[in-house]
Amino acid sequence: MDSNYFKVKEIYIYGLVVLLGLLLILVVIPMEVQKGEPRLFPFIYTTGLLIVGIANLFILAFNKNSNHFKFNKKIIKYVGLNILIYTAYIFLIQYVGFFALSVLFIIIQMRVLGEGWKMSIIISVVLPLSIYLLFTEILALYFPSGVLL
Amino acid sequence: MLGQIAEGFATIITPMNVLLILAGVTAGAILGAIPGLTSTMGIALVLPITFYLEPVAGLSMLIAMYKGGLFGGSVTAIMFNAPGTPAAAATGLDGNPLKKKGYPRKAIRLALISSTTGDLVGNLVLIFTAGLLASAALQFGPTENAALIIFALVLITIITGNSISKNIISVLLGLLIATIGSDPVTSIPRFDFGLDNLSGSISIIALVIGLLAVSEVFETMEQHYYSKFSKSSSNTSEFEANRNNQKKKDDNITIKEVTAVKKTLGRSSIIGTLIGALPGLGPVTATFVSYAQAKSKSKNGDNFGKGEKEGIVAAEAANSAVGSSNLIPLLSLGIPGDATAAIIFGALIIHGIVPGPQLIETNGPIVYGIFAGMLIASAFCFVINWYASNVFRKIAVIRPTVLTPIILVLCIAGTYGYSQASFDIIVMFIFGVLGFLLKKIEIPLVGIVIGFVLGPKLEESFRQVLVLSSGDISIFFTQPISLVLLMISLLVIFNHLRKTLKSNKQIKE
Repeated sequence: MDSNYFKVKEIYIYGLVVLLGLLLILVVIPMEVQKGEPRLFPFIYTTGLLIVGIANLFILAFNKNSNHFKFNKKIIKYVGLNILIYTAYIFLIQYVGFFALSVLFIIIQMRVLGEGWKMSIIISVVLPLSIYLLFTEILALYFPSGVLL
Repeated sequence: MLGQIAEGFATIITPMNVLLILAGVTAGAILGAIPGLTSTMGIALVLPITFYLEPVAGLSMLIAMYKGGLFGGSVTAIMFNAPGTPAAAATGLDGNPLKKKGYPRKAIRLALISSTTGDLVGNLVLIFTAGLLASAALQFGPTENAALIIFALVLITIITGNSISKNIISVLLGLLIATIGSDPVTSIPRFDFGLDNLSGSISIIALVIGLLAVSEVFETMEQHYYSKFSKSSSNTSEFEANRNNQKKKDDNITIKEVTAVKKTLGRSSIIGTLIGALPGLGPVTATFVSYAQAKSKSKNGDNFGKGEKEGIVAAEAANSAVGSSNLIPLLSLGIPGDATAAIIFGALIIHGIVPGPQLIETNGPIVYGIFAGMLIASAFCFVINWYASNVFRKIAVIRPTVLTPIILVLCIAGTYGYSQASFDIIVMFIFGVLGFLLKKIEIPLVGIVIGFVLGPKLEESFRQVLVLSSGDISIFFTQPISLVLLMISLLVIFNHLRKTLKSNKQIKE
């Protein structure tokens, strides 16, 4: 049963917070923010993150019953596939165009989720068309057009 | 004054004006309900049309659109946990869990009653005491603003999740993200990594839609797959049950239920009105301060975040009260409190009406006509949404296989529509994935949103204070209003620590 899951211990989360804080204070802020007043608040907030992270690391290091989070590998794989499809949609939209890619995205996403062909096709045409008309014709806003519409 | 109000009603009640207000409320509600499209955008688009209308008709239509949009944003927060506006995120905290329990219509109607009450209180205060409140609001300088934001952040840290450490991390992450872009005082770019798109700031719409709406869709997909693959597990049955509404007669709000929350309704309306009268602080501060107050005062404080009715009432009453009271500094002093107020300011100027202390003396009939229009808009908003809640009840049972792609496409349309920048779609997606992961490890997302919204104002006010006081922060303790706010913040922290220690002791025993 447990082989279907992977666990993330709470202590790792605070470890990650401390790492993020250190990275910001030692590398990112000195590189990306000009010296002087502009650094004040990023430093204050990052110091806050470090304090909370380190304090919790100490508490959890001495607590044998610390919390952990379980993730079902199979479910995560399927959600990951859906996120991957959405990623492709997001990155290709400016090259292909909103209308054409939205039709394709809705059909693929609905089929992957287990929806039937009929509903997938109806929604994939009606929704992008309605949005396209509302935005371009009524609100005078424009979508990425790409090589297709 | 009552005579002038009656005159205002006489001016506004013509078939054309009533139709324009109705159109404003409906269009605002539709725009507000699409995540990313705000009523502010709608008002900006309609603004040129008002030039061709009578001042009372045009301005009443704009305000009607604003009111419709405010509640439209809350509807999507309740239905899909995808708030149309950042302030509506507080409504979603309890509204969405109540909807998931099978009571979408009850959640929407309760929110509507709260919204209308808050709106009415805000309107009445605006009409009768605008001048007085505006003078009091002038006492708020950078010191008081910074202290109020610190107070709001303390409250948010205590209320948003189960673990104080994670709540603090959440708020600090939001504050840190808010520092991306130009420095609020010197305008020097920070954390832009050489990208022009980051030299301004992260788009609030991309952040809110990504963190709250897209992450919620990913979570719904996860529950859908649980349901599909392990039909016998308890998790599945709960999810399946959540997709079915309760019986229609049970999914309604009763007078008894409204009476039970009347104190919260009154208190939250007043909190919203008072904070709304302060220029620049806006509905986000008001809704979360009100929500935190309601949680601390309620007997059912532990149920907040799980579909508690008082939570919906607190957030929604304050949110709508701000909608009216943020016109107080605009009309009385000529100071627009937020983007919408600034557009309305522009509309007034177009019609040759100069907002300020002399406004009522110089343009009394027009101003009272607008006030009457606001009251009519509130009434329309109530009636339209009351009956529309029957439709929303039906939407609540749409299969996730159909609903999730629809919301994902709407998220892209809303984000792109708002800024017309492809970069913002990528930002929205990144925050969507981040939000999904953070939810898994129980870091509350609302804290990030609030930190992000309040961060720039906090930094700006704080640094103004440092300049004014030559770097001496003791000014926070010498100004009476900021001292009181900071003392209350400390009391809230100590009270929370005391309660936590007490409950830990009881668990050990």
